Amino acid sequence: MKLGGAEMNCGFDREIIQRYADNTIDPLEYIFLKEHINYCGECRKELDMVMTLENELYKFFDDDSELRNLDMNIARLVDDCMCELNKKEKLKYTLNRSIEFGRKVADNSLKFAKYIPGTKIIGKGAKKAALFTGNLMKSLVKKEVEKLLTNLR
Amino acid sequence: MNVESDIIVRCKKYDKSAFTELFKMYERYLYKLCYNYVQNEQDALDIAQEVYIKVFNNISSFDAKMPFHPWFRTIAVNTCLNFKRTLRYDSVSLNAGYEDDRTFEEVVAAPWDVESEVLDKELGHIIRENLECLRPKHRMVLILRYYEGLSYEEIAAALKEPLGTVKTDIYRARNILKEKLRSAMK
Repeated sequence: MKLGGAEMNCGFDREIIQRYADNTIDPLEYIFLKEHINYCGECRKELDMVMTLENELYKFFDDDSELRNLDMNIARLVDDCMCELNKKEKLKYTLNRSIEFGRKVADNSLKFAKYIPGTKIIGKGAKKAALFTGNLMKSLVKKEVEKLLTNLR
Repeated sequence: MNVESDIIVRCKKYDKSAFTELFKMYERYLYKLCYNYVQNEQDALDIAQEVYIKVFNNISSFDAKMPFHPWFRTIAVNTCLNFKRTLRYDSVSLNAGYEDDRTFEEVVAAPWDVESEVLDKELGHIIRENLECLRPKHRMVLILRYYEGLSYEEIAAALKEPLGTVKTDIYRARNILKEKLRSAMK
């Protein structure tokens, strides 16, 4: 590992010391480290520091003193969550009912419109008017395009 | 932490007693995780509550065939990382002697056998004080490593980060704390 490439003045790979602390050291590295520590004061201090920090970090994060009076009032929290859920479900139900009701009103209105006297005549008239307007627009556009083409020629 | 799949199945059906049971089971673990991250009671309780609400709202999307704990931990970790902190702690000084000229076995055994209770407390204060100065992600990798006892690979999976990034983060975090301890022990 490159970051472990950091070396001390003695040239010893610091990462081997960390691997010892992590309990992932190779047996050969362990022998090498053990031998080296016996004559290198700098690495001895580093090992001491690494082990102290490891030990302190485990102890620090394992400290239960803050938990003695822990009461998160879970029953109330769950109640609140269930209440929110019920509100959401109710809203969803009301919305669905409203949509269904609106759809029924629209369907019935269309059915009713069929029985109003003169609906068919008005419908036919509207269709005719739309057809006439469409044709008129088409012919106008055609005329204009033809004019443009003759001008270009 | 092992959670019976039966509880999760009941939670997915929004069974109130199942949620109460599940949340009770996680109460200490979650509070400690949050407390370790923010280092104050009120923020820890706020985050823990937020985590529970997220778990409640998202339980329907959780696959009951998968292990529950990593899913819960991911929600807790992300909630912590997104939390904005409010409090700061007072600084603590330390003057401690430094022993040298020992064998490998003595050096390795020293932190467990020789350090006095008072010194342990002071080292704990230094860690607490300097955890505040670490970047949030660095703080979280330390928590996952030393509180959860996860391997580097497991931390990478929990944070959805490359293994190299996690190793670099934990290396930097430890180095900062090591330097602080070193200067305090001089």
